[in-house]
Amino acid sequence: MRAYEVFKVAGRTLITTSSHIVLILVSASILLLSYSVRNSEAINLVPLLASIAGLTIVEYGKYTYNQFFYSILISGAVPKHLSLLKVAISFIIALPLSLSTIPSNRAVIVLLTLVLSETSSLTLLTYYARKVKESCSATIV
Amino acid sequence: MAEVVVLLRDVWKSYAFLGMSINILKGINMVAYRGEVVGIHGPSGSGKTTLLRIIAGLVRPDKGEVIVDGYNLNMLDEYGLALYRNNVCSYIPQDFAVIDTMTVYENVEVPLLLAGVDADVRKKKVMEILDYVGLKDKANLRTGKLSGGEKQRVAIGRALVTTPSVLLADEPTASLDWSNAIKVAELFLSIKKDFGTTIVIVTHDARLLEYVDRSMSLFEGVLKQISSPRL
Repeated sequence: MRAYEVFKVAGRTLITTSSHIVLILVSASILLLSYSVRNSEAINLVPLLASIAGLTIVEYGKYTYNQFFYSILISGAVPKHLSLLKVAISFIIALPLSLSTIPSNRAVIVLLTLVLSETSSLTLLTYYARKVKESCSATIV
Repeated sequence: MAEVVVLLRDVWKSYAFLGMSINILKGINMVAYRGEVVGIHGPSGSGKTTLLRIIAGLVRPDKGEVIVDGYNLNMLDEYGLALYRNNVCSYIPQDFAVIDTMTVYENVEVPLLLAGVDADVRKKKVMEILDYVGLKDKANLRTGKLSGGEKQRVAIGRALVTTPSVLLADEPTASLDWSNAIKVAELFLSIKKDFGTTIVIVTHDARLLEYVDRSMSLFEGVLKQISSPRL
């Protein structure tokens, strides 16, 4: 069993996950915000707001993520692949948020948004994956 | 003589709680034969789910041996256990664990995707199983729109699509009314007859034991046989 198959299932699931519809709306809002405050001091707050938005997206989609992690685990996924998935999912969330800050015209804002969103999403996803682990009390996850 | 498919020998499991170690399973010995439906009855907190998850390869016992269809689970690493869950032993959790944002077809397809089965074979197998569990006409519906009974059948379809030797069902009727519960019990009997699958059901509902070949009781981590095999 290869990681490729797990990612194939993940892709199908996550693209249709409502949290990613939310992601588009959130990214559009960050883009507008970033554009409108691009010449003021308020632009420095955008990475923080974007990372909070990232956390909200994961929180909104937590039921789906839990269902997804548990479903593939009992269907034969290797627990190690769940860790890779967490990184991939958080990247899917962090990248559009980060790209939506481009109108700020400041590379540091874009990069900071990427790092903050990636870190916060990954932390929350790890928490949810751990709940799945506790749910099956799996020493193997 | 009937072939032993599930064998548990002196299985112990404990969990730490508030700094104390609590024994959930105390020296479980159990056998299940090929094509047999075994019912394990016990109150909440008696260790039923833990027992099932140990057989499913989701939890490792502290002590004891678990052998399923020739596989000694103690000898398998996490890759081995993943293959085991994919090919040999399917588990249906109490909350079904179907993915609401995916269609019925996609949910049932998951184990075959993980196994790397070709698209044509996947489609054929999934449609066959959906027909079998009576969900062929709902293949393209998202599972979030289904009733509890239908979600249960999606979970059964997903468990069955790889034609495992052993099917484990955790409280399969807990969230269903009695008429739907009977349908699920009858579906398990059909699966046993048509696929020769060994089925282990844990339940707190004693009425479900009328539909099994052999029943056992689990109370405070101790398993006792309460009826002999009908084989």
